[in-house]
Amino acid sequence: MSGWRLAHGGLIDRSRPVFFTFDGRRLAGFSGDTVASALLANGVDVVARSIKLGRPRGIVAAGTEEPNALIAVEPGLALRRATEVELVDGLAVRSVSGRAPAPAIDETPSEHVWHHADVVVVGAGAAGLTAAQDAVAAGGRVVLLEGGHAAGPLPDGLVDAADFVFLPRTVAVGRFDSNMIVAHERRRGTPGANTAARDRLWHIRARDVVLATGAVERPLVFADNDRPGIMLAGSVGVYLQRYGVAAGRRAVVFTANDSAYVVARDLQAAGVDVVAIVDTRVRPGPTADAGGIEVLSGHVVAGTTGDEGLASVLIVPRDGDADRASPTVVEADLLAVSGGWDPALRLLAHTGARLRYQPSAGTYGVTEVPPRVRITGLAADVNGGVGAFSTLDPVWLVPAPDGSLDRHFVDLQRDATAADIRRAVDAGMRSPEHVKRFTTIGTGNDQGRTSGTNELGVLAALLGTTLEQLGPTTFRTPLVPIPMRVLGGPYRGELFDPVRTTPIHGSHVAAGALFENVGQWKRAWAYPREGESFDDAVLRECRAVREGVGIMDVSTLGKIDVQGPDAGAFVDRVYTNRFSTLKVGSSRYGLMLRADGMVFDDGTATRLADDHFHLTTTTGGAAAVLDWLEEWLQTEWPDLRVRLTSVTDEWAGVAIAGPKSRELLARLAPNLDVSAEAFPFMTVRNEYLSELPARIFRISFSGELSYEVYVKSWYGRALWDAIAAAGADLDVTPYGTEAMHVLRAEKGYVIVGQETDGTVTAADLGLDWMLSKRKWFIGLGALDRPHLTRPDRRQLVGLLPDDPDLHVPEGSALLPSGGLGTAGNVTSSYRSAALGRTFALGLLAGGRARIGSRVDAQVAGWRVPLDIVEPVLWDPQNERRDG
Amino acid sequence: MVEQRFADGGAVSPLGNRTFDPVVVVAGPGVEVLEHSFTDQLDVRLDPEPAVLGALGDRLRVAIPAEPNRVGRDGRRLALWLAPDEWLVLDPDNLEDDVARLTMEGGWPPDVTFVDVSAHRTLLELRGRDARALLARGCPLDLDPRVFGPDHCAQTLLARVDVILFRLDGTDAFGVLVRASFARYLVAWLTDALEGFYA
Repeated sequence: MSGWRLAHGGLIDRSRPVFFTFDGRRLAGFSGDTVASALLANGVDVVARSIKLGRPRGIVAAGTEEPNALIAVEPGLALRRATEVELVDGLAVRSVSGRAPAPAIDETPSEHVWHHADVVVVGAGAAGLTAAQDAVAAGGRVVLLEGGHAAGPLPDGLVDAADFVFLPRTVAVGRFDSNMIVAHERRRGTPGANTAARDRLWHIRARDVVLATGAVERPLVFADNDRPGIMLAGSVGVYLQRYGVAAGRRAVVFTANDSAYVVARDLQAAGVDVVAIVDTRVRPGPTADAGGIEVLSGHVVAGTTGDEGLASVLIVPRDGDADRASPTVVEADLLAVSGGWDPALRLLAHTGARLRYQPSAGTYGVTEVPPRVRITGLAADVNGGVGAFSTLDPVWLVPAPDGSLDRHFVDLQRDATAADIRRAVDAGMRSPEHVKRFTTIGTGNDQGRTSGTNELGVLAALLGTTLEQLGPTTFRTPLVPIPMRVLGGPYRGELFDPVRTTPIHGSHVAAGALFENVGQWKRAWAYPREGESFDDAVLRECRAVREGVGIMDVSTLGKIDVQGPDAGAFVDRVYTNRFSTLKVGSSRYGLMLRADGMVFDDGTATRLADDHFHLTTTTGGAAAVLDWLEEWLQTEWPDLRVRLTSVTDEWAGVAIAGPKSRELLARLAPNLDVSAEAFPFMTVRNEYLSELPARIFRISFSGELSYEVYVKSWYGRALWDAIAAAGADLDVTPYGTEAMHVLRAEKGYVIVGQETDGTVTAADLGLDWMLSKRKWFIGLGALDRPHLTRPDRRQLVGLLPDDPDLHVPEGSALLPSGGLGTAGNVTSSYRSAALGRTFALGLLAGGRARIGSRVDAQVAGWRVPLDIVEPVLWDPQNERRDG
Repeated sequence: MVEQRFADGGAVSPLGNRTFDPVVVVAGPGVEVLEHSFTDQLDVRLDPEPAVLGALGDRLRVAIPAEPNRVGRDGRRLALWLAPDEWLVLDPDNLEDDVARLTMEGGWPPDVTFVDVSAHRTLLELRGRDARALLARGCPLDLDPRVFGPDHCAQTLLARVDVILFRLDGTDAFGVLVRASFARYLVAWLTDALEGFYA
C-alpha cells in the first residue's frame, strides 16, 4: 500500500465523492478522478498480472500510453485503460490479467459526424488552448480536440466563441490526406452523459492542423524494471498536480535528463520522502535543480527487489564493474523513471511524414512538418530538443550485475524483454520491422507508446549501430484502439447497406413473398402459400407461366435512355450485334463484351425513334454498365453525339407471361390490337393500360408468350394491382426470381453472372450467332486469340441426371465419364414442372461436340452420371414465344 | 393538367404518399423531413453554348446556370447544374406543359436532349434549425452557408446513398433528391440519425 491522497491540491472536486468497485472491492474517489488515480489514491499497487509471465504489474503512466493497467468495464466488459476511464458513481471494473475476457457485443449504436474547420487543434493542454485562442481570435471555424476530459474550465475567449467547437474525450485517431482528421468521441459512460448518447466518429476536414499533442516519456531498461511502484516520472507528476495523489511514500528518481528533477522536488514538497535522484549523467544539465535532494550523478539503477510491490532499488555507478557486485541498496516504494521523451507525432506519420532519429533531441522526430500543419507546446519542445529536453544522455540498456537480459522489460504489455531482442538478433534479424514482429514489441493495444524507441535503442546497442541507422517501425491508424461498432457507426442491421425496393414491394410483402438480394435490391424470390414449401411454390409458379399466366415485378432491370444523332452508331459499338438497322418500335436482344472479349452484360435495346434507344441491363449490372458506356463515350468517342441517362427508377415494370397473357393484356388495354400480326414478338407499343400511360414490350425471358409493361414508377403499384384484378379469373399467378430462373434455364437462356464468371465468351454460350461480322464492337479484337477459339473450351450444355428426381447442386464439378480431372461445372440446376424432372446447365470442356454422350457430376463424393444434351430443353422452335 | 394525370388515384410516391402536398415523413424537435411527391423533373443535356442556355432558360422560364454546382431559380422552379453538359429542371407545381411546348416547338441543336425523370427521384425537404447538423451525420460536404450558399447544389452521398443536394429556398431548408428505390432506406437512416441526434 504505497499511494495516498494529498490533503490538498489537484483538479478533482473533493466535495463530490464517487464510489466504484475494482475486482469487487468497494473504493472511493472524487469526481474528476480516473480509475487509475483513484486506485493509486486507495493504495492499490498491483492492478494486473502480466500476460506471459504472470508478474505483478502496477500503473506506469497517466495517459493513453499506459501499458499495464487494462481494465474490463462492467457490464459488457469493454476493454479500457484505467488511465482513461473517468470515475462515475457505480462504476464497476475488473482488472485484466493476461488475456481480457471477451467483451459482450455492444449493440449501442454510434454515429458518424462530418465537420469542416479552418483550424483543428489536437490537444487541450496549455499550448493547445493558446493555439485555439489564437485561431479563434483570427476568425474562422476552430475545433479543439482533447483525448481526456477537460482539465479545467475553458479560458476566456473560448467559452462563448462562435464557430468554436470543443470536443473533450475525443481522441484524434488518424490524420489522412489534405488534413482530414478522424477522431473518436466517447460519450457514453462519461460523467453526466445521457445513457442513450452515442459515441461519435468525427471526420473533420481542416485547412490547418495544430498538433499540441504533447510527448510520451520513455522508461529505462534495467533488470526488474517492471515492478509495481516503478512509474514514469512525468506521470508521477501528473498524479500529484492533477489528482492530488502521491504515488508512494519513499521515492527514488532515476533519470537520464533534467525533466524529472521538478517531479522530485514536487514529490518532496508534497511530503514524499525522496531519497535520491539517480542521474545517469556525470554532469546533470543546467535545468537540473535538485532542491536539496541527494543526487547520485553518473549512477544507474541496476535492479530492484520486491514481492508484490517495490521494496528496494539497487544503485551502482554507471561505469566501473568493480562496484557492481556491491550495489547501494535503497528502500523505496516508488521509483520514478525518465529515460527521455518522444514527441507525440504519430498523426504526422499516418500521411507519410518520416520520423527520424534526432541525436540532439534524443528521440525520433521531424525536421520539417507537412504543409498546413504546425507543432506546438511540449511536442514541439521535445521534437526540437528545447530546454530540459536538450539535456538527455540516452542510456538504452543498463547491464545487470549477472549479465542477464531476461528481466529487462522493454514492452510491459507484451511481456517482452531485451533478451527477446537478443534472440531476434541472434537469429539474424536486423530490420526493426522484423524484430518487432519476432518479439511482438509494440504490437500491444498501446501500440508501443512506451516501448517503441527503447526497442530500437536496445537493438542498436546489441547490433553496435546507431539509432540514425534504424528507422522507427510504421505507425498506422487508429492511433489508439477504437471499437469496431464506432467505425461501423449507424451502418448495421437494417442500415448496413442500402436496401432498394421497387414500387410494387408492398404487394409482394402482402402476398407473403420471400425475398432474394440481387445487388442492393430486394426481389420477390417466391410466393409460398400457407403450408406450401418453397420448392412446391416454385413448381406451382412455373406451371402457371407455362400453362396459364404469371406476373413478375421486373422494375429492377437497369434502364438507360440513349439519345442523340449518333445513338445508332453508339449502340452498334457497345453490343456485339447490329442495332443501327433496327426499325423504330422494335427490340433486339443484345450482348455486351468487355475489351478482352468476355461476356459483360446482356439485355435488350429498343428503338423508340431514329435517334432514341431504350436499353435494359441486368439488375445487378445497371450501374456498372452505365459507367462502362460513359467511359467509352467520354474517353474514346467524344465525337459521338450521344447522351446517356439512367431511367432505372423512372419506370416500374411487370412481366405478364404465359399462354393466357394475350387475353389478359387485351382486357387491360382495350384499344391495343394484341394479335400476333399487329403486335409481334420483339416490338413495343405505347398505350394506356388500365388508364395508365404505359410502354408495352412484347418480349420474353421465360420462352412463353409474354409482355413487359412499364409505367412511371409511381404507378407501379396501381399497375400490378390492376393486372392482378383483371386476371383474377385467369388465376393470374405472381412468380418470383426463382421461378424466373427455372423458366429461362428450361429455355437455355443464360444469366450473366450465373452462367458467366468473366472468363466466358459468347461462343462458349452458343451465342456466336450474335457476333456481327460486318461491324466493329467492343471486344471484337480479342475474339480471335488462339485461346478463345480452342475446341476444348468450356461450353454451355444441358445436363440431365439419369435419376429424374436427383437435383445436382449448382457448382458441382463435372468429370469425364469414368475418367479423372475436372472438365467443367454445373452453373444452374433446378426441378422443372414442365419437363417433369430435374435438369441442369453447365459449362463443359468441348461440350458442344459431346452432346449425346455422358459426363459425371461430383455430388457429395459420389459420381452421378448425366446425359449431355442441347441447352434448350423447352420449345426449341420458339413456337410458344413467337405465337 | 398535372392533376388529371392522377385523376385515377393510382399514383403512389416512393414513400407511400398519394398527395401533391408535402407530407412530413419523420421529424424531431428541430427538424422536419417532408416528401414533395410527384415533383416534375426534366433532365436536360446540351453543350453549354451561352446562346442555347439562354434560349432554353427563356423557354423553361428559369435561368440555366453555366457555373458548376449552381442553381437557377424562379419561384419554385429550379434548374440544377449536374455536369458539364447536364442540368435537372424541377418544379413541384407543373413543368409538364412547358416541356410539352419545348419539345413540340423543336428547333434545338440535334444533340440537345430531354428526358422526363419525374418519377426517377423523389424530393425530400429537410427544414428546421437542426437540418444542417442532421445532414452532417451522413454527408461529407461542407454545408456551412458561407461555403454552400443559397444558389449551390451538389451531387454527393448522404448516408450511403447518391443524392442531389441543394438549398431549397435560401433558408435553412435543404432539398434532397433521392432515387425512388433508395428513398425508404434513406428515410430509415434519417429516422435513426434523428433518434441519435435527440438522444
